[in-house]
Amino acid sequence: MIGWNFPSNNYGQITGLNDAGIETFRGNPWDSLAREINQNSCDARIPDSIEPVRVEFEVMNIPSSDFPAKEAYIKMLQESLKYWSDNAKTVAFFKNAVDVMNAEEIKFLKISDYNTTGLTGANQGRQGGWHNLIKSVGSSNKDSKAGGSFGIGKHAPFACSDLRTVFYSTMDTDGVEAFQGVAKLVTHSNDQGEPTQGTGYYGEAIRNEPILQRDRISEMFRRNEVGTDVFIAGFHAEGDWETKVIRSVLESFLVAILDQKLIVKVGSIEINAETLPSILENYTKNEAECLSYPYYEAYTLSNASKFVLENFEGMGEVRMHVLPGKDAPKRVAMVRSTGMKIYDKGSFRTPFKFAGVLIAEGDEINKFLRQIEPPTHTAWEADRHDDPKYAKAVIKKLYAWMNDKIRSITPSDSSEELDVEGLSDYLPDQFDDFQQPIPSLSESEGEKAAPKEIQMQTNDRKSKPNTQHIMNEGDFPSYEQDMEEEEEEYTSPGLEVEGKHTDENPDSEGDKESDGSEEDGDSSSNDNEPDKGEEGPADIEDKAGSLQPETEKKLEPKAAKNLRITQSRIFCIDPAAGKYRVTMQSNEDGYGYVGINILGEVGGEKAKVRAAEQLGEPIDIENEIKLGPVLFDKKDRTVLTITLKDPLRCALEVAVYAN
Amino acid sequence: MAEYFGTEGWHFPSKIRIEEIDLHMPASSTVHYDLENTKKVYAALKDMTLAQACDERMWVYLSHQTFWNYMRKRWSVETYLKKDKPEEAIKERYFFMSNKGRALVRHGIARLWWYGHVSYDETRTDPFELTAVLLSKLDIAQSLLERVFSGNRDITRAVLAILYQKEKVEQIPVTRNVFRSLMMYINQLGGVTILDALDRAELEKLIGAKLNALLA
Amino acid sequence: MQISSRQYPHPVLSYYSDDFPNSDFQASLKNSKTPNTYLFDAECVTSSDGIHHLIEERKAKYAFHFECQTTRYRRIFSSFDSSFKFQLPAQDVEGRVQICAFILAVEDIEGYALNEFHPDYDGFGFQIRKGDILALDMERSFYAEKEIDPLRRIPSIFSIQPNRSEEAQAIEVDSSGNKIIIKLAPDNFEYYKTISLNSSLQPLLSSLIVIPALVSILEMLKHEQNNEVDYEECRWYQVILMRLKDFGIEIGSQSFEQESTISIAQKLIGDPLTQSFAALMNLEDEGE
Repeated sequence: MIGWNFPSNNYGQITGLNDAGIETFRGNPWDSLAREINQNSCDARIPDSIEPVRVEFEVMNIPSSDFPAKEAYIKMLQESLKYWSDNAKTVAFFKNAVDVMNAEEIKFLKISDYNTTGLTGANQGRQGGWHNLIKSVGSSNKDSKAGGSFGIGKHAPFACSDLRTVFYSTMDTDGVEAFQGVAKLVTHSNDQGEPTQGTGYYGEAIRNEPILQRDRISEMFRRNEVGTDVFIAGFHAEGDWETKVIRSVLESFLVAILDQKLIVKVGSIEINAETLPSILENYTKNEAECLSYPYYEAYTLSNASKFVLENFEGMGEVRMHVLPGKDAPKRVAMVRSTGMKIYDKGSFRTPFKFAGVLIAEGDEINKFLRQIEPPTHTAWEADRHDDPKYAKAVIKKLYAWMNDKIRSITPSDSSEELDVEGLSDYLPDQFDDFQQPIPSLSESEGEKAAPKEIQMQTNDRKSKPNTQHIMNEGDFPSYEQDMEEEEEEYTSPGLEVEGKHTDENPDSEGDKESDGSEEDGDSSSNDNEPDKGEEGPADIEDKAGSLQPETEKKLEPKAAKNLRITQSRIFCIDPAAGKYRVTMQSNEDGYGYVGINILGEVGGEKAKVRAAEQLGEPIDIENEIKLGPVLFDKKDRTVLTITLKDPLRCALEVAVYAN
Repeated sequence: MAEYFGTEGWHFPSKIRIEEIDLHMPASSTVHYDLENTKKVYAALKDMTLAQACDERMWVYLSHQTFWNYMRKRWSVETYLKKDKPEEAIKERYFFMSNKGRALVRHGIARLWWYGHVSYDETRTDPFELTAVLLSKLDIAQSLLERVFSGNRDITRAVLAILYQKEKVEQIPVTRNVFRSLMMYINQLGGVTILDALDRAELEKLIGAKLNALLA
Repeated sequence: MQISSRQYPHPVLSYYSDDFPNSDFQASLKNSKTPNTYLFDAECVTSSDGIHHLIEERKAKYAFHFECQTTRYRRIFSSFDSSFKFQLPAQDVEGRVQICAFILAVEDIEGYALNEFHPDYDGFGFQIRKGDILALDMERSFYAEKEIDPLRRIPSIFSIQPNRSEEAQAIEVDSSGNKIIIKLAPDNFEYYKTISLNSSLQPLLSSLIVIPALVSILEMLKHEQNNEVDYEECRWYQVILMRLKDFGIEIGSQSFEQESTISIAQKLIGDPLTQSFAALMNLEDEGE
């Protein structure tokens, strides 16, 4: 039986609206939501995967008729209203909830993750991530590195729901699918008139189990790939919730994103390592309370100081990046290996200002730190440890190391001394022994100043007669070739696949190299292959080259061997159609094959010709570039009319093919 | 360093205050922050003259001294060792190639300035808007900058503005081949018409029309 | 650019083709220079009446196209007059510069046809677009080199530094060492750093900071005849001594006593006061 079920409380504890779990987040639900969701998704990352975890926040408006067991739910709301009728706050809440349910559409916030394991063990009773999330309140059995120590993080989404109701849908790595709803509300009278618990479930009523069969899960709630969806029903969308979520992601997950362990999409904005800089500028750089920008600089700028302690107290690696700065906040972000920031450490006594990022990488140190974090994961508190004294000592040592390293930095004051511009012309410091004696200055020393006299040379470009312009197959200025060779090395080295990449999808738009194919340096084929000409002139060259056997003509007359063009004139008679008249003078009689070149400002390419005729008779064109046979008479001029494939008004030249 | 420059204490042209800025380290081989770094370099050196911009000594100082860490990560020498001619490859990133015209676009730091130079447009609210277009795809920066007409900022900005309009505003993608054909067209045009005689609006009109024709 | 010989879609008057069998076009350039620019004096003449007519009608113009391989600089300088002058900033070019002389169309022309065309073109009118080449002359080139000015490498005897001590004054002068150190309060130092990037404001900074320091030092030199402090050892002292000599002034002599230290200071560093006023007037004019 599928439906809403609020188990009876057996006339025991009554649950009101002030549930402890949700109140923790009331102050800033967006920040908490973002932190908890991203943390849990990061924890669920597929082990050994190099792909980043992806989390997407999307608002949807769903017809209220699609709300699971809508009628029963509304009835429950009204029962709750009745039960708590003398509590103004509760009444207000439920009145609002009923309004939300009675509207045409209900707003949902859907949060999906990808490249995670999904919530496991849904079909196995009590164990596994699924049940831990849904049912238990106390400890979790996730391993130490996972960001969520006590599992209380799951309350955050409820704080963002006007209905305090959230639906979960998952598909795990074994293909097990599950769907269930949780409503964290209040004690009320059920159909049998008994008081219920505050928390109710939507799913299989018996034993409050999830729905496991795919076809019984309504389509909009189904997962199509491994991972988890969280649907926050009656999403309380305050005007700038997106901004708040983005800021939260930036503040808490800066390092995860920079290290490419996490990508977050909020509405249409995607936050990844590449887009991060501009998003930081737009959202947090100029916000006084936001520290992510200085942390970003400390973490990425090339001259920031980096300190690595390979084995901190036998617990693994710890590293810290520090960057002095005039307006820096004097804080260090304390980050664990998932890339999530736990808190900002201050109270440093240094003469200069700086920003820093500390990352606890080692497995052991992460386990230790997780144990001493409160449910909100915003501090490291020694008292939470089984052995507080020991914990205190460890933390103290960590802080001491940090202070030591920071103090070892002397901020450079390169611009603490300046000259007065232009004064050296009048009062130069020329008696300095340390200065190189002037006479020995070589030509290249010193600043360039006034221009020298110039001598003009003229370059006579009297045209060389076209006797020299004999085309061979595949003959063209090497301009395009050079460019293609250089492509290989253009971007970051190490991408030996570049050559390959540029060819694979000649027509694909996204030339950004973010597809996985280039990570392997194994494609040895590239370095040896000259870059293939898939475009422009090189293309034509290759085609021409490959399709041109020496003896191509079947019945056609042989080209006169020593035929050359001694003079030519080409002009455009119809620019819209790309028609040109070509007049040639030859040195011999006979047949010949000609080609036309388009000359650009620099270099050029073979012209593709659509049609050609001589004295009204059409002339064959091979591969769109080789025209012939053309009959030449040395006593007269040969006139052709050609039409270019693309109507273009351009500078041309004509030449004969050697063979 | 000392041998290269011949003297100690290289006195930096005092007007240029590049010590004030720092560059972001690439996060990976694909995320190299060329856009952010271009903005920084160009903003700091915007008023540099062309002659200064071609001065190898300054750029080499920057790539070896000020931004050494950045250079080592962005253009890691180790990966060059696997190539045919590692010295050549290293040389063109850290020093200047013999082909002066190309050298500027190959040098690890100078190229950032040139990207800014050909795309900075103060008439736009975000003056680096076209720079983002230039660097959005590998091919654009390369194809554009290795053409002779890249010396004319009106032409380069006209091309980028047209691309911006097409891709970002009209949401129509421009493939690599189409872009290359567009470059070829401009070159062909330059064979008959002196492009430098046309103003920005005229250039955009011509280039825009050709792009539409290519996409049709 | 280097124009390779080619056929244009329309007749072009050039020295190597017979599109215009009986006409020619010649452009000449005379050059000179200033410390910062190359100056050019151009003279153009064409014997084609048809083209000349177009120029008179302002449908075509004379143009010189400059292109520098190294700096990638490219630009045209043009005019409707057959004689005109133009300048090329020296800072924009380095190394080889190529110059092409043209007559260019200034607007689109339909049905371009002239009597002077070669008979082969009879009966045809041509479509001309703005910027098209109508005539061209031989290419020229020159090599742009600069003098190396070694002196510019040497800094002056002054050094501006921030004053980080507790009770820093706005400005203090320390002449005890080899250089004259002008210490500015941290805020002032930051201002100085920024403003000094604008070279047109340099005389103002000299007037604000250097002149008072120089004056105070000259006063000190004037009155400390007993020389409690021996400045002979200080480099700055030697430099100032030398410069004063250039003006015929010797410390301790009549010439030194007579002239006011203020005017000596101005003289010593090239009269920044006048330049400052000029700069301020410029700012006024620009309204910015």
